[in-house]
Amino acid sequence: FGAMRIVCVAVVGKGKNPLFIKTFDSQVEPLKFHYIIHTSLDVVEERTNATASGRNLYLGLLCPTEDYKVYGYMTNSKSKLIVVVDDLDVKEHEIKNFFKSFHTIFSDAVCNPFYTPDEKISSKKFENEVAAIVKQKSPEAHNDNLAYLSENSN
Amino acid sequence: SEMAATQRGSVQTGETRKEVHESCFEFLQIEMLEWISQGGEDEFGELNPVAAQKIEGLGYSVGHRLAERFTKERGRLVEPLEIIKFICKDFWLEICKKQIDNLRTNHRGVYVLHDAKFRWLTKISSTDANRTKQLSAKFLLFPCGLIRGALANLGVNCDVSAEVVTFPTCNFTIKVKN
Repeated sequence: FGAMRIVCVAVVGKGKNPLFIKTFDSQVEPLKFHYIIHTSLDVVEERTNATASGRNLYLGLLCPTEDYKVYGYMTNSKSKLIVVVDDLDVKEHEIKNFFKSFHTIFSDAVCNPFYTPDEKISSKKFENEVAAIVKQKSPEAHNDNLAYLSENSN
Repeated sequence: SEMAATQRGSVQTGETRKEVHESCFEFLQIEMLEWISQGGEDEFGELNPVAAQKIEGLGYSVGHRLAERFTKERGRLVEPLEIIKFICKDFWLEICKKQIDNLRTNHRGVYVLHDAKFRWLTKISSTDANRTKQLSAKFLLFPCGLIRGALANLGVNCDVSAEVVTFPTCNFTIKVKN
């Protein structure tokens, strides 16, 4: 018990353009997570602007909301990885490890010659790999509601 | 099915990387240039601008993607000079197993990367020295694209050109746009 529960993961492009969002809690309206992610991007900007001193890709806890904790990570290509977890006992090193795996999967997806950089990631392989590492970190049964970005939604 | 390993020295711990023999890339590049330049070469062996742009564009696309992969294990690169140094060291090490030998800059956005023995030129030869120099020009298009693409993805927009000094020494010139 006390395991963290990942309820949403996202990839955001160089600006504020979401490239991929996947939620893991069917009880919650997906739009709520979209909003949480969008809000957290302001914090990412603060932490990574020219005057910020940190040199880590991992940005730590961005903002706690009422129910969740939002963690961020920005790659050297200014792509953002965001993870939203249930506010249970969260171990920092587990989040860091998760981001490392997430980054590797993202980097592989970017290397796909059929993927256009900074556009939405539609690779099924990517989605499955992400779901697999989330499952690894959140072993409790959770609902696999696939509310990811489709062509039509924005 | 594993590919024939292993001219590449570095293997990241905890990950199994499939590796491909370097000669595969060398042969691929030769054929790529042949195919793209079909009939588009003048008697000096220079590619027409459209073909040249295609090859450089391919390099750009690959460099762009490699930048993500090769900056994965390191901290954040902030200053342009840091990013250029990354190209000279880590990036060059990954793609041709050595670092850039010398970096010069005018501190106003122009950088010259000097490779005393550019790996991808070392297998080229022809009957006379001048001809070799001419022929090698088109083999510099792809690496220019690689550099330009990698820099673009890391936030540095620039133009990249290259010239052979004395074979196989060459200089890559980066002009940062502002």
